[in-house]
Amino acid sequence: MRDSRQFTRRPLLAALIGASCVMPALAHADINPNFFGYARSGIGSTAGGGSQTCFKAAGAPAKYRLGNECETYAELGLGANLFDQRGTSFDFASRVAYVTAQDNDAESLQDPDNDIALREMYVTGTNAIGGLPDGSTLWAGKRFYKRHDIHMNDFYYWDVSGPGVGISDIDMGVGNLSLAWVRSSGSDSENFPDGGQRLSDDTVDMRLTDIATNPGGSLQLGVDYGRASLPEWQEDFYDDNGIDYEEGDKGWMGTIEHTQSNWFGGSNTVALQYATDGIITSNGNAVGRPAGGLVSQDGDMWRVLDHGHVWLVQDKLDMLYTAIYEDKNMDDNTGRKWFSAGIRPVYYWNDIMSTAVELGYDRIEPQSNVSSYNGEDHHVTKLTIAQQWSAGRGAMIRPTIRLFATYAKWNGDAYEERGVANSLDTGAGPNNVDFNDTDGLTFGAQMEVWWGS
Amino acid sequence: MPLRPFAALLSGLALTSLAGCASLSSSNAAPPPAEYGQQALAQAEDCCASLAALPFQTLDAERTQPLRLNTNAPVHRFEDGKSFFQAFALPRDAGPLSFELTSTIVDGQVFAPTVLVLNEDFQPTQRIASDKFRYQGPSGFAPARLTATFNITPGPEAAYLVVYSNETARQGTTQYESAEKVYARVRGLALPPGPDPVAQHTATGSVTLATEPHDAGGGLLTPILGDRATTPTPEPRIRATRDTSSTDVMPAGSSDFDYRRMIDAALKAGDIELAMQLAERAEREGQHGIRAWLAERLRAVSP
Repeated sequence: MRDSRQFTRRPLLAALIGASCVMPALAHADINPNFFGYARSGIGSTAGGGSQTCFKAAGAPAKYRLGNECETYAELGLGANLFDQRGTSFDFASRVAYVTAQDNDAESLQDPDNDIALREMYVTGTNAIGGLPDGSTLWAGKRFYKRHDIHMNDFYYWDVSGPGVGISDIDMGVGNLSLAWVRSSGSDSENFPDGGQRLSDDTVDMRLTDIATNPGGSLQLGVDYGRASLPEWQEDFYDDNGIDYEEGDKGWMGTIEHTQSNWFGGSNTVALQYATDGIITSNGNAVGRPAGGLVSQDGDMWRVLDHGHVWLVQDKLDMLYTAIYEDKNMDDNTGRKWFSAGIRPVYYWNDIMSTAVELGYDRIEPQSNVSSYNGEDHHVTKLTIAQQWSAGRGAMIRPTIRLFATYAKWNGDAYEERGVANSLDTGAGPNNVDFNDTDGLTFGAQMEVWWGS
Repeated sequence: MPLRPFAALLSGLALTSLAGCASLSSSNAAPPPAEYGQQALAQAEDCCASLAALPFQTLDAERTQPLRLNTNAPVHRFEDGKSFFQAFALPRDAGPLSFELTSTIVDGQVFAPTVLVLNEDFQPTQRIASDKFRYQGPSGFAPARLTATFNITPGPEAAYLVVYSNETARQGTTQYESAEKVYARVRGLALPPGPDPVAQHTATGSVTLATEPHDAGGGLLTPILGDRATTPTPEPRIRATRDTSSTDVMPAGSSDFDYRRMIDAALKAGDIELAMQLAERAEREGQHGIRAWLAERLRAVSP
């Protein structure tokens, strides 16, 4: 009795404190902000002099990241549960991303190589629509939408993030259905007289997830259809200039993915993807949304990948692994084949200290018309050893502070000339190996952290 | 190229470190699986004939200490089952104490604690059962865990504290969020499919007990229910606060806190008991005269 009376009085006290203005934040005490985010930063050098060079095969959409990241990158997010009554809840989330070249103390986010970007600003309404199965979530706003990535090489293979609207996780019995309409505007700088004349590229994303297949295993199927939504004046412009926009502006991507949990203490994911035309680009990474430009986007792409995490010796030795094969076959022969494989075993000396090794290999076989990098087959192998101090054991435990040394070797000249890619991508960080070098060594320190409640 | 020896050295280092791992791992055993702890418990002998004979350690009123609830911990057959335990004698003159007991989920295992408070005759007076411990997902840099906070005013009715787990609790499990899922959630990735992993409740575990004088206050977030336990009552009350993230909070330990305003509000709401407690608290913090002031107010309010 006494207890229940106390319980009923507790809200009074919260209100009372709010009213007393001792702590104004508590005036809305039922808003508990979520602070979440991700960050990495550090310092590095290239043996022989200069700041850290990062090794990425020219033409590849990803590089193995351990001891091979040259920038400071952070995402800071704020959100809150704003309403939660009778099974319906509304949540808000926002996220701003920052990137700098990691050169100086004060780095203006307006300088080239630096950026600040509004990545998320959205609200979800769980069980907001009556009549749908429990868990169905209505959402609107810009957001990271069910992104699929491989952590060890930071490779996103299914990512239709952007402004959008959708209903996600409708329990259909066989699996959860999610539908979304998202936007990724591009620009046809090649044809439009003004780069500011944007193309509204729309994607409709449909996916059926959590289809139980075998014990611990689940399947997901997805289709993304993308096209540029042209207003009449843009169509007129293309017509007047004799540009065929019908072929290039559409595309679709299909994904089949199977994830096995209870897999040697971790999990394994295998995915098969096929994409066509406007949803792929010759140089960029096909992730399921239209690529931006209109013309010269005819072709198709196959991708098969497998990645996962296993414990080789429980609590002592685990490993991340990745294998990717991608064949991007463009009609104008600007595509390439990409093969990538990597492992990252980590040995845990105790709860805090570990030693990580990452071995990664990327091979690019360009089509005949590639001009922006080495047109011959080329490959990059990198090996990193890192001593790490982390908040626990396991590949996905952060924060981590690491000291690393990275050795990379490739065939062909690193760069065509200073600043122009040959076998190495020039955009991955400072280019401090000589342009005709075929290997390089870097060392440094980095922290990586993510958090969120 | 002068870098080649470097490369060779590096690869060599990498290989030797890996080879080292393989050889080390066999001798350096991983934490015992759940069954091992259970077996050790089954085989262990009861340390003590009665609760009075438990090996009580002194409890420091101001520290966070790990409780060594491993297979080397003492074992006793409690009323509700045999368990590894740690027992403490509460400091007599410490005044009201706040406790936070945290049991961390490690490798899919967690110790589901029960807290037993004994009087000076070693008779149980209060119990915080394991179901009063709340699951808390990984937040900030803290891992997934079970926690309960409670307050005890040491005295004749609360002289000893025992942390153990009973057999019923060990049948249970706790679902928790995996590191992979946390990463996916905070990075806006597709959540890993499948249900959250389930931690077994084990005979041993990683448990810490944080103790501090209640008036230290724990900053602005001292649960108000806990605060009430500091007032002298005929018998010590003890309870797990059900929701530590609850919005019901009360500033504590702030000497310039506006007690008169709080007391006024409490009176307006007809909560005389709260008003009196606030007055007591103010007096303790050196704001003398508030008790008399409240008496005046009460006279004014009363018919």
